[in-house]
Amino acid sequence: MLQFRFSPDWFYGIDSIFEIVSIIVALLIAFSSYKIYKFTKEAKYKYFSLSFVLIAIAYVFKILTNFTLFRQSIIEKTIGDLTYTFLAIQKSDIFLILGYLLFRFLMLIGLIGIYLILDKQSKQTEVNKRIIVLLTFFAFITAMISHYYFIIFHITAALLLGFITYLFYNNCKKKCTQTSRLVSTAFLIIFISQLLFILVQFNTEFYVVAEVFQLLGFIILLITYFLVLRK
Amino acid sequence: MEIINDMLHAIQQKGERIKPTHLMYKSNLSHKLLKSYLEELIDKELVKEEITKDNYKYLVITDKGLEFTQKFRQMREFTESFGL
Repeated sequence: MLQFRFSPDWFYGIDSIFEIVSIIVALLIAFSSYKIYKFTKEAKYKYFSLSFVLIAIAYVFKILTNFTLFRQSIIEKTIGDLTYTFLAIQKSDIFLILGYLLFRFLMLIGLIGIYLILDKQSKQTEVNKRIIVLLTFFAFITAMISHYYFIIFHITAALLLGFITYLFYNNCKKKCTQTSRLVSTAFLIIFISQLLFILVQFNTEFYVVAEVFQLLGFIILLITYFLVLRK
Repeated sequence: MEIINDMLHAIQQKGERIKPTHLMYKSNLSHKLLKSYLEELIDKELVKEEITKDNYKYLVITDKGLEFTQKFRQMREFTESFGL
């Protein structure tokens, strides 16, 4: 069940613009977190920053694979006594496969990173390195299997985003500020977008709804970023 | 860092200049601790000393100090927003 394109034809390319917004927001958050790391030298900010960088890179790969890659090759054909050569443009599936694999793997690693940092913070315990290795392995396996059954990726991403949203909601309950409410709302919307991506197998129009939800989530994160800067 | 920010915030709230004794009460520090923190603040050019004509010593927050408090506020807001 190989499927490379999930978007309806009229939406093809527009989703890449949505993804660019997500990349910018993810990089802004990563940059802020890295600045705090430089200021405090606390490792959690470095890893939080790295997680968002991985999410941004994942979206870059999604955009690259959205633009179907072509390669030129010379084909020689013989019909009867006549041999002719012509230049043909062929779709290069290897780039698509690799691009989607990297998109899914990096996205899952980024989400696992955010989850582990937040979980460690809420429990005040150290993260076991073996757990990190194990989760990285599972992220890779999930990305590989998602090549054949794409919903596996969205189910895994939704699960991780569900946990992340729960931890942000708990933080919001503890320290209820405008920005903490916005962060938990943004992640709740991104979580819903992953659930909507699962429904794409029934109707490709769900892809559009899911992309709009995802964009909305990242725009709320962008608003949060500017509200933090205004302080 | 929290203590340094509290000290700078106390100076800022007092109209950007404060007497050392007032700062000691406001920041809840012993004389010895205040002295060591003040040395660090002056060394990092976050605060400067000023002597008035009537020979009173004041601590004045510098532009760098004001920038520090702003960055610290943003950092705390970011940290609280994301539960870090």
